Amino acid sequence: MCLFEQKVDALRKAGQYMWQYVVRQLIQRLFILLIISFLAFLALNMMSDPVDILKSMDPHITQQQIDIYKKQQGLDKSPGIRYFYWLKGAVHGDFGKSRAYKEDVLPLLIDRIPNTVAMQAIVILIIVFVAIPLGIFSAVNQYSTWDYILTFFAFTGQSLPIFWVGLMLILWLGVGYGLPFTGMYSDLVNVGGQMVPYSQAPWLIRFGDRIMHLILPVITISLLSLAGLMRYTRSAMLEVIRQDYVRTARAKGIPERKVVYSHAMRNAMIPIATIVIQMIPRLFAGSLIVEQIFGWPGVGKMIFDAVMQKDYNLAMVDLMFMSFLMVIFTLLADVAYAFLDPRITYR
Amino acid sequence: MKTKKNMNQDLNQKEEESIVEERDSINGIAGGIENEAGEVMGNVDYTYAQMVWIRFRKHKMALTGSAIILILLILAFGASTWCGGQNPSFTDITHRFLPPFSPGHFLGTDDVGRDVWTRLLYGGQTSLEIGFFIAIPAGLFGGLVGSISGYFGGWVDSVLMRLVEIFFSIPTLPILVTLSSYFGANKANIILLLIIFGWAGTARMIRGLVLQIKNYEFIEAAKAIGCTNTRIILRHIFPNTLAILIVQMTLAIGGAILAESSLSFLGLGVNPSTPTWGNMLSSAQNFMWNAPHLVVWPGLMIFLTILSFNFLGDGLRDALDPKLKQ
Repeated sequence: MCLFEQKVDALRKAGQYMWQYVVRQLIQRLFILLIISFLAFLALNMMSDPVDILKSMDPHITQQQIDIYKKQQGLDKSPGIRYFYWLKGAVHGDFGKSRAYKEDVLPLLIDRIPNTVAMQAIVILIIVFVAIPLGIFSAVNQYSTWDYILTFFAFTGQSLPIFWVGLMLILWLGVGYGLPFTGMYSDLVNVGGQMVPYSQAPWLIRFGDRIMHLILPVITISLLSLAGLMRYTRSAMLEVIRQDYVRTARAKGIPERKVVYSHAMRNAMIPIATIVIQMIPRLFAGSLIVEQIFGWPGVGKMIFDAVMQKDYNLAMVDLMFMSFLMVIFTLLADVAYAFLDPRITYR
Repeated sequence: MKTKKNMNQDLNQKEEESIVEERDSINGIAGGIENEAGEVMGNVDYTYAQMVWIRFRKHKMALTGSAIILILLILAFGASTWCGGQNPSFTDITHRFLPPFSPGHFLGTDDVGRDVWTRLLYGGQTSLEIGFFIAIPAGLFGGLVGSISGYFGGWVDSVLMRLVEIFFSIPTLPILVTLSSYFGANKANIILLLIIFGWAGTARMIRGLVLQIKNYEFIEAAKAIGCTNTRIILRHIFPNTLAILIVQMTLAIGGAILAESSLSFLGLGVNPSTPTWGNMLSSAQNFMWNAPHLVVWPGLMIFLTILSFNFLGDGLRDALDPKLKQ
């Protein structure tokens, strides 16, 4: 067997182990998802007694009617049994009906997902293209004035309460400079000096209007998420720069620029890429507050409204969506780590 | 290009020199060390606490942070003295939305004429209390779970780490919103909820540390002379994780204050009858257009507090265990 064949063989074997790892992890994480769904179901069911809502809708409702309703909805069973009914439905894609919207909850959720994705995608692009270069710069110029300034900025960003930043930006840029800060679009948009309802405006104007509405929430989230990633990049980079092979590269006389940007950065990028992947579901879960402040109709605001209206089927499907993202993206981060770093094998 | 390279080397060298200097000064190797008065003292063996203090005071931001925390503690827990005995819940409808620096109301009044300065002080009391009551138990519990998990290994470790993984896979904020709306908004519930969702990170970190510690000789020695597992964990492993645990708890205080104020801001935290910075901000939000200054103060206090705790935590990390410095 020549060397090349050996190498191919090793790679093939590694790939096989990798698949076994992924499948094992998927099963394990499915189990975690089940446990979370059970706990969330119990919590949400304790939260609301459906009979209260019936009584408030119709004060003259008789006990008999309540019993019939309970039987119809399967509410006379214990929560444990009801969870299995829910699970059975969920497996078939039926997550129940929303109490507030009187519709199936899954299409309601799917309607909202693109709104949150649009916002978070821009946030992720911004923080990746700003935080990582700044972090690298900070690490390369360790203990310089700029490093201290950036460090101070990072500490500030990590300590800012997001809701306060949102409110201050509304007061400063929203009120002061007329940037829109509620909802996804204006009711009336300006088309060539004439105010036209949003739905009748040309797409370019609608697009521009949407971008304007994105500015404030995106700045708010980015400001806070930048800091963490920047610090992480800095320490990942410092970790690599300390290593022997970087010293060897320098000793060989390779230009500093090349040492930093091609020798050191490549290895530093591995943990950074995984952390970026892990940030995605957290940004989704954290979108709750920002969407609430800016009235952005995404999944975060939906969960808050659903909880407030005791609309537990809707809250449940939204919670499960967020947990699903968490579980999938942490797995993805692990796999990406193995994929990017050939030193790691999952045997 | 060349100059930049030289500069980098210079910096590295400088750094190494400073490390050597620091080590020598701490161990007193350099044959005498200056004390504060500038006199040269003989070879001194510093105690651990003295070494920590020597390293800590070099961290200017941490010093500033601890000074701010001290001031905040004095202000918040002596609230009745600093606000001239005013009642934080005393309402005065005839003096609503007074601007800052009004006579008798240093920071003005809110939507029902309550004194903002007074409420800010009492709010600080609640917020700080909540921060400590969450961070310390959560840290200790996480530390205990992590120690047990790392020390025993095997199935205990798998079970506990699966549990930690579950907590990591939960979208925390949405589930907190759900649970706190069910359990009702009061201080005890918020503290309990945030402890339940706050220990997992510490547990994972301490576990990693214990996996290293348990291979050291002194653990083997302890086992050899017949120490029980409980004794080894409590007397030999726990003290060695304490440095990281303290840092972790300091940072967690800021995190807990942030979490509490987020929930209070959403109207799901502490009941508005007890002022906290979060619920002050929540009610100020509704009057943002008439009285923007009401939004500024509580948020600024939250920010300042968390920033100070983060600086303090960072300084403590460098001081307690210089190996961790990055």
